Amino acid sequence: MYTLFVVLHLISVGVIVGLVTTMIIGTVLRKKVKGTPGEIAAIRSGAMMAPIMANIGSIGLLVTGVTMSWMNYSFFQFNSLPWLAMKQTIFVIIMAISGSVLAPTGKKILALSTAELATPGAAMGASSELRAMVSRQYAVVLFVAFLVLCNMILGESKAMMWVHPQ
Amino acid sequence: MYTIFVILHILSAGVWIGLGVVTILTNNFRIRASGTLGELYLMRLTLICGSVMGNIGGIGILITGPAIAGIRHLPWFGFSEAPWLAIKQVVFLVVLAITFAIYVPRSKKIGRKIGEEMGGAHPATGASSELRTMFDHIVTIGMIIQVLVLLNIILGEWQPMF
Repeated sequence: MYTLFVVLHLISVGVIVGLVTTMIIGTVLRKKVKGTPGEIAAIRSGAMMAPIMANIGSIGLLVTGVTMSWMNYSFFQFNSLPWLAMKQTIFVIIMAISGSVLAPTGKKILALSTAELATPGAAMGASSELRAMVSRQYAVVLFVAFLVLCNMILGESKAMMWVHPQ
Repeated sequence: MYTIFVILHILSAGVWIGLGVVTILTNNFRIRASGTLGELYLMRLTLICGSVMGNIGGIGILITGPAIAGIRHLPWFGFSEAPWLAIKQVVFLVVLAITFAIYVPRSKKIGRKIGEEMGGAHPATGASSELRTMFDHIVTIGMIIQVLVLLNIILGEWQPMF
């Protein structure tokens, strides 16, 4: 049973890794089609795809992570399992950033890109306002990706850090 | 050193899993955008993601897999000593064979066809039925690869001795 949850946990991480990779590819493609309707279409595709993948990945990680902690470990035990406690803290930070920054900005980007696609100005590409929003969102996504990487390193190394064996 | 390779191995597998989700999503968007220029754009996006993410994941697994096996002194195709690993290695070879013998050549062919149709007389009416059939085939092949990748993840975590 535990192995099943580990596999599902890995699949959920995979979805998040895939989302970050797609966003990096999307940013490169978007810059290539800057000033054309393709730029807005690329932004819109990204804004449609990101919440679906983010939800699959984060809900998957939340459910499997909590279940595995409950089955074999504990919660926020900095004195006995520092690697897991840090992992859990980082995940809470990721969820906070996702809920307070990424999700609302993502909705705004989707709404604005959909509106801009329907205007005659679409032929000139995205507005500077939309570009600025997308760039800020991309920076936050890269920061979250760094936190996800930290969590992967903690999960695989299971570093005991300040806790010394008795 | 071993931990670094395991993390890189998980990242590479993650890129492949992510590719599967991206393929499912963009394919759904494509079906919804059927008969418009967006259909051709989304087909192209799926192929670009397939090519970039397929290469990152495939090369990553190809490098980190043998490195992990080497560090842990695990056997190659040792069906009697570590059957789960031997099956994993065989499945990976099958994935590589499908990728290079079927997926990559078909993907290139579809990419050329999309280019022709985008530059053709009626790009605003979306893809031709021939292109749609070709695209459906490559999505199916991509999904078969995903199932095999999933099988390998299960084998790697479960490590059954059969």
